[in-house]
Order: sequence, then structure tokens, then C-alpha cells
Amino acid sequence: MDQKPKVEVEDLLKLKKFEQPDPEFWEQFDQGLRKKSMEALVQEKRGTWAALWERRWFQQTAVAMAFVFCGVPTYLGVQNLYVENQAEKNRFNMAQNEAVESISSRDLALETTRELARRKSMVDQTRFLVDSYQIDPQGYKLEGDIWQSNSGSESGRTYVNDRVQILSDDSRFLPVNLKY
Amino acid sequence: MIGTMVSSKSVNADAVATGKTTSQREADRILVTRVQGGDVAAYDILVHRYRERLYSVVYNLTSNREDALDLTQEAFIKAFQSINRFKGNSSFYTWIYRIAVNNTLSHLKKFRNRKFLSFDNIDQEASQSDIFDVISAKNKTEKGTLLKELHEKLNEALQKLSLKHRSVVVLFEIEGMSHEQIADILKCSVGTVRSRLHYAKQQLRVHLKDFVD
Repeated sequence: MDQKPKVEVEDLLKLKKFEQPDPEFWEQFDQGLRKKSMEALVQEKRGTWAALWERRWFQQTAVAMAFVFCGVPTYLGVQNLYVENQAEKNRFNMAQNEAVESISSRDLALETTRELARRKSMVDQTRFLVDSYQIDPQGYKLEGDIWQSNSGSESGRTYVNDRVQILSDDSRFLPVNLKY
Repeated sequence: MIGTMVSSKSVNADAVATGKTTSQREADRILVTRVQGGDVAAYDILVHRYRERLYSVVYNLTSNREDALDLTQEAFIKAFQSINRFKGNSSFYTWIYRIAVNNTLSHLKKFRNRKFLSFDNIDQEASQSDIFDVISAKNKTEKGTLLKELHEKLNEALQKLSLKHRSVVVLFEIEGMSHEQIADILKCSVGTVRSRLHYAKQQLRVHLKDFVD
């Protein structure tokens, strides 16, 4: 009967012990360790922050934090500015559009008059059209579809039945008092 | 500080003498106390005492001699940097092994996809061993070629194991540590060590079926 000894995994693993580095390897090991120790020492002296800064994860976190604390507010500021500019642009466009559109009577209070003045300053040389308002021009120049009442308590007042054009080059526009 | 840790010429002879007269563990404890007190030369003794064994563990885990060199050096530097946190609850030997093994496992996890093997030379003495005689008797291949082939297959088989199985096999079968020591290093139970070892050997038997009976 064959009595050859069996080879087990454990036996094969014992052969791993024969794997050894060359004798000069340990010289290289000592030199490398000395060099790395010096580097570690220098890094220790440079302080934790400097050492951390050399780590990739720290750099990434720092950049992310910088973005959150600086980038986001800046972005929001720019966004706000953009929104304001956009709003300004929209108002400008509105003013331009409204220059050829009629304005509903309910909107035209005293404030609205100021708003009209503001729009006028934005869109120079543009005509504003105003719908059906009772206007007390007090001698100011109005042009368009207007008529004056000459009876009763409303005598002398200027009314606008349909539309009146207030010329943009009319410097007396501002004091014009518009009423319901 | 650590810059001089490898200046073996400055090693104090009394520490070596102490090591000879007391147990290894006690000798290590004395050296560690000296390092903690600022005696850097004492650390050189510890480095020289453990560098081969530590390198062997790291090399057998990585199967890459360059990585093993770097990782062993790193382990020594890390151990030195945290030597003041070493309270002596376990032996210095277990403590530094734990640092080296954890450092290596982190490295292997990080570069999981990078599989580059570079082996140390296998001593030709291996071909004179009894076990190799048995293997070569079964193979018709020339001894030198067979040894080279076995060397490669053995490393490849180890690398096919998962990290937790590989660690247990390396520490138990190659480094000759006890189950308890391995459990202490890997921070798991002795039962876990045993079951991992059992499973790992099963896997190795499959991978090395051309060489085992």
C-alpha cells in the first residue's frame, strides 16, 4: 500500500516562511524609515493644520466649506442682483408696454401717478395712456380725448372720458392730480 | 525625535540585557516606558526586534514587497507617534501588530482594485524541505520550476481570500500566533477566528488543489 505522506494546505503555507527579502533590503528599510520619520517630525512641527491640509479629504472638505460659506452667499447676492436687474428690466418693459396700453381706473390713485412719473423717467419720450379719469389739471397742459365740465360743482374740471395722452415732454406732468 | 529611531548604533546595551533576563513582554514594557520618557534610542531596539516579523505579516497580507516595505515603516511611525497612548493592557507585540494589520487592511481596502503582486525571493532552502520533496515526488516538473510555480500559486491563492480570512490564515499558519492573540489583534472573538480559519483553509484547498492531497 502506498504510504506517501499527504500534503495539506498547512504544509504549503509553511513554505511561505522561506520567502525572505534580500539582505540589503533591511538597509533600505532603515534608510526609508529614517527619512519618513524625519518627514513625520517636520510635519508634526508644522502643526496639525498644515499636515491636515496635505490630506486630500481635508482639502475637499475645506473647498466644500468655503463654497458653502462664501460661494453660496455670493451666489445668492448675484442672484438677488440678477433678480433685481430682471425686475428693473421687467418694470422697464412693463412701462414700455403700458405706454401703449391703457391703465385700469382702479390702479390710478395718487401713488399710481408717482409710479407713472417714475415710468416716465425710465422711458423718455413715451406717451402714457390713461383710461377714464377725472383730472384736475389746474391749468396744466393735457392733450387727447378730454373735455371740461362747465356745470355745477364740477365746473371747470377736466374730465377724461376715454383716453388722455400725457405727453412725456410735459414737464408739468408730475403735479397732475388724478382722481377716481 | 523619531529621526534617530533607526540609529541602531545608539542602542543601549542594558535594554538588550534586560530583555535577555526577563520575559520578552517585560523587556518590551521597559523599553516602551523608556520611549514614553523620551528615550528615542529605546524605540530603535523595538524596531529592530520586530521589523522582520511585522514585515512578514504585511508582506503576506499584500503579496507586494514594495507596499509591505512602506506599510511596515508606516506602522512603526504610527506606533511611535501614539506610544504615549499605549497603556500596557496588551503586550507591545500585540499592540504594534494590531497597528500594522489595521494599517495594511485599510490600505488594501482603499486600493481594493489594484492587484499588483511582487514577491520576495523564495529561499532555495525551501526545495530541501521535506514537504517540498513530497510535492516534487508527485510532479514530474523540475524542482526549480516547481518551486517557482508553487511560490506564485501560493501567493495568488492567498490573495483570492477575503481580507478577514487572509488575515487569520497569515497570522495563524504563517506567523504562528495563537487564536487568542489573533482575536486580540483583530478585535473579534476566538470563535470567529476559528471559523474564519476553517473557511479560509477550505478555500485554499480549492485554489491549491494541484498541490494538496
